[in-house]
Amino acid sequence: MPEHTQHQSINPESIHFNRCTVDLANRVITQNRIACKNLEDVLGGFGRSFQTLAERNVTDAYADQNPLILNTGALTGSNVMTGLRTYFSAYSPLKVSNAGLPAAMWSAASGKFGSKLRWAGIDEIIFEGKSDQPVLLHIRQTGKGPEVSLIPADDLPGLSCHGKILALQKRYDDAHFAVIGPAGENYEHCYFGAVGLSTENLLKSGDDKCRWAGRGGMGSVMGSKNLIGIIAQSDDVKEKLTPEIKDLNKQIVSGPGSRKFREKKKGGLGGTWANYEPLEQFHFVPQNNFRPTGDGKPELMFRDAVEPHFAIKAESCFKCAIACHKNIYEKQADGTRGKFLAKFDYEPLNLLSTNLGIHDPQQAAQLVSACDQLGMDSISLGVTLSYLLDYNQRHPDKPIGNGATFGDFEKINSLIEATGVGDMPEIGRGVKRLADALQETAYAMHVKGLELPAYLPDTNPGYAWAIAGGHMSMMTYMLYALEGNTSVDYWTKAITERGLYFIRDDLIGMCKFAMLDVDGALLALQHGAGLKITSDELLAAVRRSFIRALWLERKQGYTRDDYTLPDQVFDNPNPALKAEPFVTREFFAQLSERVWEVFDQEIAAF
Amino acid sequence: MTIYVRLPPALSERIGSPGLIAVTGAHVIDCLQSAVKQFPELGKILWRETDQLNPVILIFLNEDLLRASDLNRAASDGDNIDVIPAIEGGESLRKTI
Repeated sequence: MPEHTQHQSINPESIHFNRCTVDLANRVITQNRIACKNLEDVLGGFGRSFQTLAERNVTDAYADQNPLILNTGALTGSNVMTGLRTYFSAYSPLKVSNAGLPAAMWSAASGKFGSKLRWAGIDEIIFEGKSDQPVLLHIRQTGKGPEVSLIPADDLPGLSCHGKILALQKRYDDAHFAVIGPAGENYEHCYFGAVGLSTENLLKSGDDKCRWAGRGGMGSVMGSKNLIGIIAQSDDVKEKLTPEIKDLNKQIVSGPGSRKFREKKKGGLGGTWANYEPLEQFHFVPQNNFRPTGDGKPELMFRDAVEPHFAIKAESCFKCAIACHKNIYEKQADGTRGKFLAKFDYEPLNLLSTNLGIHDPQQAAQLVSACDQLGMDSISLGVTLSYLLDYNQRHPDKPIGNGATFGDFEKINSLIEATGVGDMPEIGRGVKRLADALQETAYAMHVKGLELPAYLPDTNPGYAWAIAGGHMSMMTYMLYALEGNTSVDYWTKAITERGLYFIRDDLIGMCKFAMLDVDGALLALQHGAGLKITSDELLAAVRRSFIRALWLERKQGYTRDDYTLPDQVFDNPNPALKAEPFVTREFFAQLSERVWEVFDQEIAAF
Repeated sequence: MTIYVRLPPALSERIGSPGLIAVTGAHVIDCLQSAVKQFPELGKILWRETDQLNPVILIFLNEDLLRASDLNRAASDGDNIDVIPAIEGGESLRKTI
């Protein structure tokens, strides 16, 4: 294990967090003030929740023994810009080892729910067991501390995430909400149900603008517990900004780190949507199930191509001036904004349009909106759909589903609607299970059971070591486009020395789009959470959390065979890519040896 | 005259530089070359082949996005030149080991 316990700047045991445990089967709620065991406990997020998961033996993600852990990070609810994160952790129904055991996962979202939860006085909630009827958990700030109760929710199932939030908004003032949609309710047939968190913008506009904890089926785990939603009700905490936090927020909003996500009018690049253009230069935009053709069709989804036909507004989470949400509205005859249609982020946009052979932005908006309405993870849904379309194209004589192929908007839309209400379990159980059942796994775009984000695996061998989704937990996914290095030595270092530290913000409560450097994060922790620690201590805690996650994968039956890429990458390189096909079986075998040489020693120390 | 080349953490930590590199130069291209002189690893990211700008790197002069052909734009005292990867990902939030 890396050095970490010596010369600690703080004594973790002197720091406490407020945990609420909810026994759903017996309707028993307890609150405890818990002393932290280590720096990960102090920082929060998955660094803390995975320690709890490590103590459990879970063989079925929907079993009573699988806890759903909702928590925050040290900076959630602080004055530091983007300190808004809420984390959901559990053993995932989607991410499974080849041995068939569920793996620990977390998923994060911003919005304002996490801040309200902390302001109400709760840092973490552990949901145990299952309720025998649909319920809501209500957390309310009182003069005597948080009051927590379970409330029947018989009238809410069947409503969309958005519909549930609007219904709850009428009942609770000064509250924010975390809810599941129909997909989470139909968890047995849909393993990638997401949790939708309310935003200020949603509550004010009435538009469907949730933020999503989508990855790994945390909404499905929530549904399996008959937990329909969580209400966090409290006054807003309005603390005066200190000069240090003012400076830090200025750095976040005007510095080069967040420039990518800011609006073009503010000197930015226009959000993650802007990935399309540079990636297309190399034909790296996923198309037709991660098989770009080089036909130029991705250009139809460039922002400059879409903008003339729609009104686009950059909107934001609570008190965040980066304004990364690029919301698409109908454009009225006079050029003003009409009806809200969808939010165009790179991942949902690509995986529910170009990668399905859809090149009409209006249709793309409909598919993104349908996915949100039903409360599904757009990545898992999109990738499983693209596999199905690919299969049908390869097997025109024996198609599956409704026979849809690439570009068939009506049929694709029908598949989405059916999947979200549990009528299409072939899709709802994810691409690994579908491909295994069809015995055609080579072009199933997943690693370790989790569908790939919208970056080609042909360019990122680091996917194999991502612990919670390829673009959220291993920052190697665009290295090749940036630097073009194909040496084993380079990639070993990229994975073991650099890429893994991308998970830092999944502990501390900040959004990755703030892109703070280490010194900035330390300042944020010092002035936003009163934690004065060193960079070595922070980085060691992040690294331990990563290694613990690998250890947990091993506990769930993962072997080296699980850490691989889709066979198509090795066996059938795409000649349309403007890239050297460097991820060969030989390259990957050498890389694997080198990476495990590093990680094995650290895992053994746990 | 001082001009600042600003790098996001992903890049500065990769090349072992601060996020703000003070440089001098009459034109943007001179300022970038001055930064590369101080931190040669930056050159490997900036220039894909000899003098051709890496197509996934974008250069801003204050709030203006520059084309590769605009790098001879004049720079003035106090200007910020931002070097931004046009794609997410790429590097770490950890200091280079």
